[in-house]
Amino acid sequence: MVRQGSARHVSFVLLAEFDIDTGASLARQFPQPLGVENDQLIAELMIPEGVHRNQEDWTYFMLNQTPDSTVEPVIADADSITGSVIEGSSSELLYVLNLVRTNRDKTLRRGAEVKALAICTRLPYIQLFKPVLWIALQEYFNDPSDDCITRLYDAVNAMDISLAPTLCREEKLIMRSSERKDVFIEKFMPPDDATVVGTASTTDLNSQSAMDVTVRPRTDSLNSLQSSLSKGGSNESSGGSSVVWIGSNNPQDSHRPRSSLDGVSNHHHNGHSTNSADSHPQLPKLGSTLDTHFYDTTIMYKKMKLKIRVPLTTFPEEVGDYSLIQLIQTFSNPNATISGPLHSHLHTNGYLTHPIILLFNALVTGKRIVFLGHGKPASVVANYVLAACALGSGCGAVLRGFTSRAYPYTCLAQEAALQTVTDFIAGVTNPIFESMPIWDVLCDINTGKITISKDIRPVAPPPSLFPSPPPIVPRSGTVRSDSSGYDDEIVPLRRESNTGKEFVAKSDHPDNLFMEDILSAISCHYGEGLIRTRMTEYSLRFVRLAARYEEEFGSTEIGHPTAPFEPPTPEFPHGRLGSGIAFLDDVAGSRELLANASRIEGWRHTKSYEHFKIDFQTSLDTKAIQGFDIAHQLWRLRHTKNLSDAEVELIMRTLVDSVRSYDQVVELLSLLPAHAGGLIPISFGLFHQQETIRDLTVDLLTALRAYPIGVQFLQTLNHFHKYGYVRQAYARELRLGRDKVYNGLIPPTSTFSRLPSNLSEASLTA
Amino acid sequence: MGANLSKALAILYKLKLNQSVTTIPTVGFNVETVTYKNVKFNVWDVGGQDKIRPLWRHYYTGTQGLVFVVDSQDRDRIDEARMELHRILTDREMKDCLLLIFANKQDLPGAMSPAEVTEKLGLHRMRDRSWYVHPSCATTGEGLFEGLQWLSQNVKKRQP
Repeated sequence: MVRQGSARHVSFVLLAEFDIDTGASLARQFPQPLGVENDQLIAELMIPEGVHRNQEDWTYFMLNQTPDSTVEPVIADADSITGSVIEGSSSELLYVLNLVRTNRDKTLRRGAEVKALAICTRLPYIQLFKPVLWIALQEYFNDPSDDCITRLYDAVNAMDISLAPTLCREEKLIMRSSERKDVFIEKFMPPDDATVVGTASTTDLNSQSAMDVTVRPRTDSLNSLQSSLSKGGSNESSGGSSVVWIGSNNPQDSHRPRSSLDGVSNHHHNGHSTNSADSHPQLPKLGSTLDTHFYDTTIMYKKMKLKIRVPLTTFPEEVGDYSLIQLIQTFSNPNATISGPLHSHLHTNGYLTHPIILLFNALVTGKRIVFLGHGKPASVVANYVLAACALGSGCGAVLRGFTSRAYPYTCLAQEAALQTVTDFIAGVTNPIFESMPIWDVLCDINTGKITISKDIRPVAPPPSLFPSPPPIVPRSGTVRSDSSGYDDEIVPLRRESNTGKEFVAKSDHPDNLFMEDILSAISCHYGEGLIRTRMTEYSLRFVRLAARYEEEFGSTEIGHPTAPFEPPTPEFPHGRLGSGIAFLDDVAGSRELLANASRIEGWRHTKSYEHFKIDFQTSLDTKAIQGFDIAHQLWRLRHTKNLSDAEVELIMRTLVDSVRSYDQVVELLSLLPAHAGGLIPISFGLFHQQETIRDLTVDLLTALRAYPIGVQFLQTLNHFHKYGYVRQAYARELRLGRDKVYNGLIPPTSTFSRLPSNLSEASLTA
Repeated sequence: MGANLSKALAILYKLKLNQSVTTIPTVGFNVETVTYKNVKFNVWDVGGQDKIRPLWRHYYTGTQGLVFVVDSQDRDRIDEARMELHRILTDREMKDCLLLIFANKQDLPGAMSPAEVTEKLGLHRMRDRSWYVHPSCATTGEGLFEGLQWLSQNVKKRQP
């Protein structure tokens, strides 16, 4: 999250040194001592084991994580007191980015000196500070003084991100799944222009038209459509160009919706951003380098101007510039194996469980995970740990509580602290960890081999869900209505049962197919962004399944109750919308539930589950689109064959009624990512046999069109759908007798059918 | 493992690569595999600073032999070395481990003889343990392989 204004970016700067006789020590702490219980630990983390093998290395670790790493500044000055009030409680995680360097110098005793410089920050994108830290450490070797430390602290805190747009969760999701470099460009406008943005409920006619000029150079749609229709009618080429809303009517500009596997990557966005940049010179920041995914700023260090690109889509659980692709590739290579006993939380597809799925399972069920990279720089192992946090949390968009138990780089000095926590994700370079009994799952990043500890705590299989349960255990017949506290009953699995029939392995298991899909996307050079989005969706489906699972034993607090669509009855003349997770059919549903039962059971006893329960309840109150399960409806539109007309109509009607404000539009669009076809599930309604449904679809799309982001989504429609929309929108307006508004300035809104005379504040704020 | 780390490191590299290396400070540990007479040794060289000595215990499990390098010239610290050695050996995990001591820096004038080192370290009082003191010079490599010879023979003896 971008923190605005006066809050300090960096809370502390630390310097550690290594002495051959006394070892590592924390030499300087600025602006005041951290006040942690164990200074020595911090120094050991800053000077990683084996650092003498590398000239330089980066490490990451966290403060405020365990009792001995909790920061309590001893000398609290006025600034830090106000600072901590602004920045939140002292127990908030502090991320530490550390650079350590070995300087070889023959004149020194033993021929080298080792120093490490670190900054502690609450900002998750700590990678931004690498350049300045690198220069500052160089500087410190030349001039080991307090000045040098102070200069770094001041330079970093002087970085100005006050104008950086702040995006809400849904906006971030949209931006993450969009490759367009001008997505949400309206948020980059100078404040006075930007007043129209994001507050569409107060949008009036004039400001809207101003936005048309500055933000999207669209030749007003209906007007030009009218002319093109009148002169060419069904002429394809003229029709095709006029219905594109942007000024540059290059058909290639539109982004084709695509599945992750269509194999053709889309390279048109460069051309696109250049086009849009050229067409509105009013925005000084626009240029070929502009990418709205980032906010560009600078850090001035001495006379050097360091360019900083602040990513705007980072979720709090996403620390550093991790790479999911690297993590997936390392543990999916042909030599990657899984050894050790089978465990019901982990091996959700028996011995055919994909290593990455096993890792996901270990993460969500709160296992003690160690990434070992013997001989690798600490920065490398740290990146695996940070990527694993993202894997578990759905890239920060679904679950939380992973970074707070992550130890991206750790060493023997922290072993005692690790013994006291119930679960962790740790990165180490010391191979002695392999033989230490502190982990459940060991991932060797050199070989891709994953080892399950032979002493891993066995768990009882999940309560049986269905009349014919596969688990062959003595108690499989007991259906529990309340399964909480189940973990407390440790039922040691017999060794035979570990390899027994309990673990069913299927090569066509949905998770295996999913991973095949991911791997082929990676091999087709789809970027990190798409992989992250897909993993986010995987996590989302997991929690929705978990909600469904809980209903087997009563009700759930982590999801919408499962209900099918109810056809119209006298009581509900339009019928009632379904909700909850949806399956293609009952058989597929029960199979999926059964395959997930164990890990769901494991997850239900973790902190991330507790967090999610709170987050879900909060979202019920705070979501922009209220009153129904929107994900369920979109799933129905996407996947269900022979959807009844009544259901489509009710879905569309509900969407039209609920999607009006900017926040509502953004929430809907966040569920329609480009890689899943964008607006396609909705725009098919344009060709429904029922006129009502076609009209509702037009209204819904028109509602989206009131906002720049909605326009960008409409642009991605294929020409057939785009033309279908414009033709019907035009016909609809004609039918409603509103010829007089075709001046191209009034944004059509979803409400015009009900309010033919004018746009009223009331209708828009509704 | 040794109080004087640089020589331990030099010995390690001498054994591994048969070359002398500049010995910049070891942070944490070094581990190398040395094969001598068909016995593969996983040799751990761990940092000797006081503060991290408590962490040595993590390396004890499964250890078959302890190589302790003594600076034969440093008479002031031989007492400290003795205490550290006994502390290591009292750990339960180290009960059966072989003890090889290099009386290092034999090339320097005034160095203690192996017999003197044996005496000062109180090795005669260790009744239940196989131990061996050998003079060495890490920079030239003298004596190192003789020490390993003893270690490999005794490791073999124990294996069924």
